[in-house]
Amino acid sequence: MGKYALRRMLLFVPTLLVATILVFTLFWIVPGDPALTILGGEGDSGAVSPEQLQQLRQTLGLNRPLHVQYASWLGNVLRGDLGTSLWYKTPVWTQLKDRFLVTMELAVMAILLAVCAAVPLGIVSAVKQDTGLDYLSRIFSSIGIALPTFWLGILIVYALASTFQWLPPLGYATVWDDPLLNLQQLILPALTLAFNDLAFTARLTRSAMLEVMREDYLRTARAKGLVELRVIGRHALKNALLPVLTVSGYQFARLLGGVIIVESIFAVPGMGTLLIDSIIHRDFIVLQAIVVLIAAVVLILNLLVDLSYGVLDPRVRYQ
Amino acid sequence: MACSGSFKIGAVVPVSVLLLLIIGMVCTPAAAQHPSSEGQTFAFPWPPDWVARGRYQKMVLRGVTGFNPGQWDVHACGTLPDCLMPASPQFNGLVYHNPVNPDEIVCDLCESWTVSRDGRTYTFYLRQAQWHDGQPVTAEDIKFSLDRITEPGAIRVRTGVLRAFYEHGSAQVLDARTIRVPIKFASPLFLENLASEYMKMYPKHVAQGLSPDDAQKPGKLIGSGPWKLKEFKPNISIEYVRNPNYFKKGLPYFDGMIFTIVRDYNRRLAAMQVGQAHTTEGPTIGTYGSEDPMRMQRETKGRVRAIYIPEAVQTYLVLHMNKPPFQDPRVRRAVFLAVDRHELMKIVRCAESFGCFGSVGTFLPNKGGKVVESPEDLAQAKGWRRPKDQDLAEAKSLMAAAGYANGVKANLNLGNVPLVVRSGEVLAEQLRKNLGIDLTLEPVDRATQVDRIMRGTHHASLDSSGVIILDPADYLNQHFLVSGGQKNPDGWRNSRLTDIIQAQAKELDPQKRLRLFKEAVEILRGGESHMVPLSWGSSGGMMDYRLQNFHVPGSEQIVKHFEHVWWDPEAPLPKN
Repeated sequence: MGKYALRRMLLFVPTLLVATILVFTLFWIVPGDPALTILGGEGDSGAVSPEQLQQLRQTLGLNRPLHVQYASWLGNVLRGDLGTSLWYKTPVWTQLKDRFLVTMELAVMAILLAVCAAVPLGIVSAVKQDTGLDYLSRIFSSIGIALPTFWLGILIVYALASTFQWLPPLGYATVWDDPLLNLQQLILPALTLAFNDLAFTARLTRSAMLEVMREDYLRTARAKGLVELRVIGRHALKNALLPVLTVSGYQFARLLGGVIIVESIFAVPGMGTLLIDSIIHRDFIVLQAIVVLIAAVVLILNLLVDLSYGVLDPRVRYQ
Repeated sequence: MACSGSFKIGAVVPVSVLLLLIIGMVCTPAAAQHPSSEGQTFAFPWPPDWVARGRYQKMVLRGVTGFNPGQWDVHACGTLPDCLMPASPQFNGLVYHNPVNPDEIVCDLCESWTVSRDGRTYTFYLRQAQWHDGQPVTAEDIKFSLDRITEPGAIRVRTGVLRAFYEHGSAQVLDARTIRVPIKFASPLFLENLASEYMKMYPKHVAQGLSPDDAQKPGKLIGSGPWKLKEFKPNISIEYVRNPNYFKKGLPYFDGMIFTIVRDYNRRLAAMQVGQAHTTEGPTIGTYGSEDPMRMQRETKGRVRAIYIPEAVQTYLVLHMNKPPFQDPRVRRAVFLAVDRHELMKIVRCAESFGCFGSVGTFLPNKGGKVVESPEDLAQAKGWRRPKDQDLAEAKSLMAAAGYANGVKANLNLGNVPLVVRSGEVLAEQLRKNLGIDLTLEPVDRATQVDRIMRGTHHASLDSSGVIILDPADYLNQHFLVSGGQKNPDGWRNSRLTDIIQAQAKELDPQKRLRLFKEAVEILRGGESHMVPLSWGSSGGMMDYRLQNFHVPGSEQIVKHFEHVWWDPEAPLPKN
């Protein structure tokens, strides 16, 4: 298992490299000029003269050939320097470190909410198969899967503002500074993010439970006279949870994508809003750093999920 | 610009001089301190009556903004929401637009100024003011700031215009609070440009040690303004505290201001709706248009007030001359004639339940009390007159003469904001129906759109531009003086127009100047330029009704400092 993990980690390097090359290339294919954005902002660039643009491009090193710019960026990253933001003129790391924690807090909160609600829902749905409760649960899950996260977010904001004249407080407080305010600020975006995963995980739990509940060993357990709660909780759930847990790992990685829009809707200052900003401002230095970070998190998650197979199911062997 | 207290000295009869002096002393107490023997003195007594009427509240003004600033040096930057808006509250100009009568230019850091008889020398007398670090504001600081603004070779997106008037290094410090500023030629535009919000004064002892990059960082530059920057948290908030030593005693009226950065448009609207914010950024940044603020005003029963500048932003078509079909002046003129501006305005700028927020596009803004293109004039003008039969007939024959009798395909570069797309759709339909020009709309984000304009990748671009200074010359400068920029990407020129642009800048007689503007418009109505004006739109925002003393300026680029507004908890709810 150790050798397997090491081999997988070595594969991280070319994967990350390809991801950065891809993003870098795409960035320069898409129209837009960081120098023009800096001088003109998001509004009117009319007063910018071609000479001023050229001057700034020269200062920022944007006139250099693309491969030179990429090599320069990569060289800095290998020395532990993620670069300086073209827009903020501050080291990228100072921007990233706080945002990363915010996004991770939101994602963890969302995945916990999703799993904690989805597993009981899936179990009830399976145990009460083809009853009204099961149908309700399945309708709920279908809606959850069908609803786009961004739409749900907008709907929540609209409904709360119009009906209750209430919205989560603006701004951001860390969990260490003000846990209650932090919870108020993050609970709605976390619920929005969780809804889709909740629906998917509930359906997955239901089908896994149904499959397990048809197994002979459960019949044996019941024949031994075990109470139903113990049969479900101890024998069925333990085996049904294996696919749920592994899928949740991937879901977490997927959440990092959904977080971008949700953060924007709820004004959460995480990596999602930073990513959108860096695209709007054509700040490719920040964009590259975020891509590297997200790619690294996804790769690590994938590895952990793969390794968890062996822990959860002793029959799995790594080669 | 108005000054009720101005007086002229120069009469040889001593009695007249004495009489004038007495009148001057009665009308403007400050003016009497600096009587000039060489020209005209403009003085502004302080505090004005609104300072006395204002109500200080122990509270923090809360706002929402959709922009995440990246630049804080207003001398260098060119952007209103990302730079000017957050930076401005910290600084003062030498002169500025009177916040309660925004068409008027009055003293900010100066106490009065004198203009020489030939109009080429301005002498500014400074107030007793201090920078945020306690150092006094001196004439040396003003000279330093003027020289920094006009520094040769430095990037000066908005402030570079001052180079046309002021020779770098030419200001003379007469004493600690007096500075003489010679200008290259007498011009009605010098003060207009000097009053721009971008022309802020910096302390020499702080700014001269900063590199251009460092100056762009928050908090590095300090000012003398009503607010001190407390903290900028990127993507979270911009927070200011009251400057307790502000030289305008009694101002500002709050303990602080905090603008929360909310990228999502609907979330900002919702924040206003539930009372999480007292004001939107600016508060007249055009992102809100006028329909949503009006709806918000209705839904909140008047608690949220819609604020908008009626004719703040012009939408126009840029015809790229680097490729067919618009490299042919006949096709450009055909488009100019064929566009039905009245229909466009009605469809795009009029909301069903709130009426219309805009007007048909003219070439020049009717600002600062100067009306170049009046409605009566437009009723007769080709391209605007109705019915359009004559114009359409001429446009079709021009298309035929250019070899496009059966129409032509072209693509249109435009932004992806709904209002812009709607304009594009109406325009495309008009050109398809009237001239057979089949426009393919390609909406994109702003950065891509501007990049496409600069590179001339498309046949035409739908763009918009805001009024910067309150003078018709503003649009002549923006669109026809600079070649190769966003407003004139292919460098269209007309030698007579260029002469007029230069002549009007030096013309002091308002009537003669107006005639020059009218001549410029006549040239442009030839329809051969790259620019086809379409419509004027409003620039809107929202405020809680209890915020008092905000007076809508003529441009979204001015009155950005919030020194003059106060909160009146007992203000009556306005009738909706």
